[in-house]
Amino acid sequence: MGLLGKIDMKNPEITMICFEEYIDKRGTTRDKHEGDGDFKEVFFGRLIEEGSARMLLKTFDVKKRVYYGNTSMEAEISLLMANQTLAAPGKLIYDPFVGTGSMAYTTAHFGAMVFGSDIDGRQMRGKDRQPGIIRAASQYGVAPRIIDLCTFDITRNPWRCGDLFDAIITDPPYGVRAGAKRLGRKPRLGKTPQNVTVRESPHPVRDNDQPYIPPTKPYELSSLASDLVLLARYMLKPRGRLVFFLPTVTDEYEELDIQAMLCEGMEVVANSLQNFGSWGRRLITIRKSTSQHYPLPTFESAASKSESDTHVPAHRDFREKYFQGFKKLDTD
Amino acid sequence: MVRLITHNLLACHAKGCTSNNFPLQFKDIQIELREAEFNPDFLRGFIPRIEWGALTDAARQLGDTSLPSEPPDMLDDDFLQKLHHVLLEIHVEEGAMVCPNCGHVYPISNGIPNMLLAEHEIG
Repeated sequence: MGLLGKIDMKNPEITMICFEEYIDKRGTTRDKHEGDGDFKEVFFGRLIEEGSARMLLKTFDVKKRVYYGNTSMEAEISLLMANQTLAAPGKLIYDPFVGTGSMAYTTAHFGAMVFGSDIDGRQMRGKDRQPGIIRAASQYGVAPRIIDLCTFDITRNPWRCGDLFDAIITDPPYGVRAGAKRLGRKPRLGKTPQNVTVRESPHPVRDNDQPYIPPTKPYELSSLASDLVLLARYMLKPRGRLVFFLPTVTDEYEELDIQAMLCEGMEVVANSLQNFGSWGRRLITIRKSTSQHYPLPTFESAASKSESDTHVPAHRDFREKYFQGFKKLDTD
Repeated sequence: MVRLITHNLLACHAKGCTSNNFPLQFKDIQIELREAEFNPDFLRGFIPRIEWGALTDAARQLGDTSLPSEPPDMLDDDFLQKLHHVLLEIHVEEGAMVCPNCGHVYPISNGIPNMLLAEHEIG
């Protein structure tokens, strides 16, 4: 080939790459020590350019992040999610379950301005004075694009108006590692509500430096998912996108699970499975296809509707199914 | 944090508090100025969402009187720079936001406002 330059293996001027292709034998029955399949062909070429996104996997590696939690989303998936939102300079994006902010960094990296909220402020703050999400955002040089972080429950949200955001990106709590919560009180067994209210005044006495922690109750995944679609229809600008993960039970999943979650004016753009075996999670991208204004959802109708609905989606009571190991309950 | 863009979007949402619940009033606040990147397209797109009176009042309370009382018809660079500063570069770090109607106090600590409602304030 007439390559006359100096040999330098550490900083080569040109990189040559050789690929060999074999028949993929994964998933087929084969002998214990039978290796790859039969050789098919070989490719040889010169590296012209690396993709612009590949290196971002290293940049956003959670292990190298100054602040993360046990439910932080891995770098690759956070980047894919940001891509699905069409994040770009000048866009306004919202994460209503921001947690430790995994998707805020990647969407901000692509130029968007990001709002985050969470019912539990501790996840956003961490233990230092400067909130953990801001510290990690500074590491990536995107702190000025994190507009604000607020503590509130999306079912009791303070947004003054809708039609605000170009996209909503979120990884809702499935109830496995982090349980979904909303404001309210758990229905108690055995005691009548009257007995409880007599003893607890609405203004409990407490020290001034002890912030009041309102009670929360569990938020079942299928009602959370349909509420999220309704909230997105209210909060998104026309053609805005809702991008989120929905865990589902592999054997029970049906196309209808997603369709039943939709409401008028919202359409599915993409639905991709990340398969973990007996369960998986689906990255759902939904677009607001209408320019009509919708009212703020009540967050009650979806729950009561799904009670009476005949279709039970595979992600209903995902938490219980997960901890039972996805075993089919015997009906006889 | 708690920039004026956020302040302009948050209303009191306690049970039954549906009128005169916006804008929330700042109380005992500490502010910090931090530079943000200027994006004229973002600002032009966001102007229709702004409650102008609430923004100029809040800015005045924080000591910034650069904005006109009405948004101008001509959105020149000079105006957009001022709007950029008011919306995105003034951060309220500590203090509280108080509802002018029901008096609910939303505390701000380390730049994060706590907008959670108490049990008797939810429907």
